Amino acid sequence: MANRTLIGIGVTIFLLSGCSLIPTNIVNQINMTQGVGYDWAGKKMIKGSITYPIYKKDQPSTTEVKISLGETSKEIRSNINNESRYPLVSGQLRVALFGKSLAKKGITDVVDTLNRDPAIGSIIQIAVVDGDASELLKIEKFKTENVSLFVQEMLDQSMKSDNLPESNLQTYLFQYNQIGQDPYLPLIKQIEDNIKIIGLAILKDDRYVFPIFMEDAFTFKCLVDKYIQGLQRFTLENGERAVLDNLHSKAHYQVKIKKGRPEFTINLKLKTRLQEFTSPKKKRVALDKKKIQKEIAEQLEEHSLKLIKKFQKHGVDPIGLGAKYREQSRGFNEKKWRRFYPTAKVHVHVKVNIKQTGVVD
Amino acid sequence: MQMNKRHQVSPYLVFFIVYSSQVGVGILGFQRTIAAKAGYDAWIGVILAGCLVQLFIWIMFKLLEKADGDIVDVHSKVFGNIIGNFFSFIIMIYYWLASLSVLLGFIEIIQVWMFPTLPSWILCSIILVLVYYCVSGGFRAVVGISFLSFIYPQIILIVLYIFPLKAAHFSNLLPIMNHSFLDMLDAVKSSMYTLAGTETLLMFYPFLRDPKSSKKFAHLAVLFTTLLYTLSSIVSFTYYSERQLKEIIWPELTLIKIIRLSYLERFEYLYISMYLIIVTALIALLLWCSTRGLKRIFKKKQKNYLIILSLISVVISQLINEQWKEALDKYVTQMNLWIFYGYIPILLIILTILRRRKQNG
Repeated sequence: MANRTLIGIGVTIFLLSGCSLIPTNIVNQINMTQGVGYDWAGKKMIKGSITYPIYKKDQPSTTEVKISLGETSKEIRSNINNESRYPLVSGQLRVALFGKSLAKKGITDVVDTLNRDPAIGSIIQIAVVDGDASELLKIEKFKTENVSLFVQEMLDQSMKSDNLPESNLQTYLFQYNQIGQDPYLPLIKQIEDNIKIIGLAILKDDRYVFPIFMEDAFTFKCLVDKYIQGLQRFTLENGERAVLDNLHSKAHYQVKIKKGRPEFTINLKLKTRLQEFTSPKKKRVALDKKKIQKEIAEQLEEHSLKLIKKFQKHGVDPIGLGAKYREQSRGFNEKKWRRFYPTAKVHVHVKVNIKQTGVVD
Repeated sequence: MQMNKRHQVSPYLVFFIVYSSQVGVGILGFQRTIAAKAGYDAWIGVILAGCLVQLFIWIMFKLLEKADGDIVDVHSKVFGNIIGNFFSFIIMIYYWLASLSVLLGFIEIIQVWMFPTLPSWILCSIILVLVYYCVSGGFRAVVGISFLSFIYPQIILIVLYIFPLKAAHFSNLLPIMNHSFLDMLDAVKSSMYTLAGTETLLMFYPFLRDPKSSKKFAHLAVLFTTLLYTLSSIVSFTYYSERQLKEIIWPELTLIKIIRLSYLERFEYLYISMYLIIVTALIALLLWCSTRGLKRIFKKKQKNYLIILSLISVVISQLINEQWKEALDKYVTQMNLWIFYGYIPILLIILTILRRRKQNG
């Protein structure tokens, strides 16, 4: 019996000494990185900025922004670690921003680091900054408001209830690796003291090519996302203006192969709600629902085609037409498809249904 | 050989034993291996492998029914005591190596995802102390932990698939059956390893109170695990694009990174901790089989073997390097394939012929 007790004590000591070897992170003795920004600094160097909140007793928390140069993102982190009070940890990272200069050179190296770190979640936001990412993170106004949380929540809310299509680290990696698709990311800009979403950055592989601005974002989101909610203004032929709120929309892609070349038909169905209707005659006119629906559908068709033509001209495929083609055809050849893409025929059929007109007719 | 009824278990518990023998660390990473050649058609390979395992269960029950005992009895009946024991010894070594491979796999996961600096021997000892506690309680305690591992983590873990399924692209699976027969065969082969584990039946058969009626529960368990693995591979295939999956070592864990709760940013920590119970159940079962077999062969106390094997495991876990670990995994896979899918059916044929001859003579 005494023998057993001895073994028990031995095992306990052994385990406790084991527990002391388990590394601990005490919450007020670490710096929790919440946002990172990367810019191109020339000569293979990246300018990285890291933001983390500082909590002090009886004081509102402030946001600290540190900037350093380095060739890789972890080198930047270790440089910044040298000048901060507590060690930096990345488990709370919410947003990663890329300056336009770096985005044009390609962001794969940095994104790979984000993806490799098991502590970083796969639904963190990534966005391209039209300008300098470190300047944006450094805005004085956001010193007390926590800039990373602001950007993250701004993007989240816009994706959920406005015209920005859904994107995060996972969707970026998915689109980047998907054969026959190019990724897109939100594009934000610092306007004086404010941060504003100005549209979408369209990437070719991992390089920023051109922006599409907010007025095209509605059409684009209709084409790529399953369900959206967002407002869009349409000007009708006779000068009447209608603002529609999308309740539910779905794009259905059909691929037909004619003479060895794919031909796409996009059937887009929108269920909407009329939010605003004004007439230039400055008096209330009766609503001709059918006419409005038809006219808006035609406008959307035209608009989508224009957008797709633009993508084809630049040779980027953010809608993923190549991926859709691959699903339908057994002998898919990526090289051949690249050749076909700029001249591929695309038809768009839009059906708009105004379900509700508010509480007045 | 007649067992004491007190040590035996009810037929329905076979479901949990077979389930826990099949589910281990394999499920966290098999998606990549099976998709290596067969691409996103590999989920069909999992179902085919499941059918083969069903057949294997049937063969094992036939064999054990004829011998009315475990594999040690079968061997001594067919080959006599000395040669028979030698063959049994090889199988016991296999059980132990399999447990070691699972243990090392799980330790690697803990080190990569949670505690990068923690030495292996501490983790190994903590897990093995738990396993020792189960195994020294006898077979019924091992069954108990198997039952627990199904009820507590597994059911919750299945529910968690909802999160990645929200971001799923089901069209990824198209076009179905776009790979050659040989590629599919490769997927079947790699799925066999993840579905392996049913061979523990060869040791615990005498512990079943009513072998005839427990048969259907064993088949049901294999059906369940096959469906579980199929579901898991489909979830991964729809969540990742094909090139993305090729880079990810543990697709199932990376899936979990999408979960973000307001009070818990990193859910994987909880997930891996819950997985400890599943892994403990599997290691306990394998070590129980191994030590039980050694006891039957050398007629010494089971606990001695358990302590010796555990200590060797701890030492190996600390000393082993990446290269040897890979070799171990490879040999365990090969042994599993050859011993259980090649040798056991032949053994059944030999035993049947011997019986016939005895009857005729």
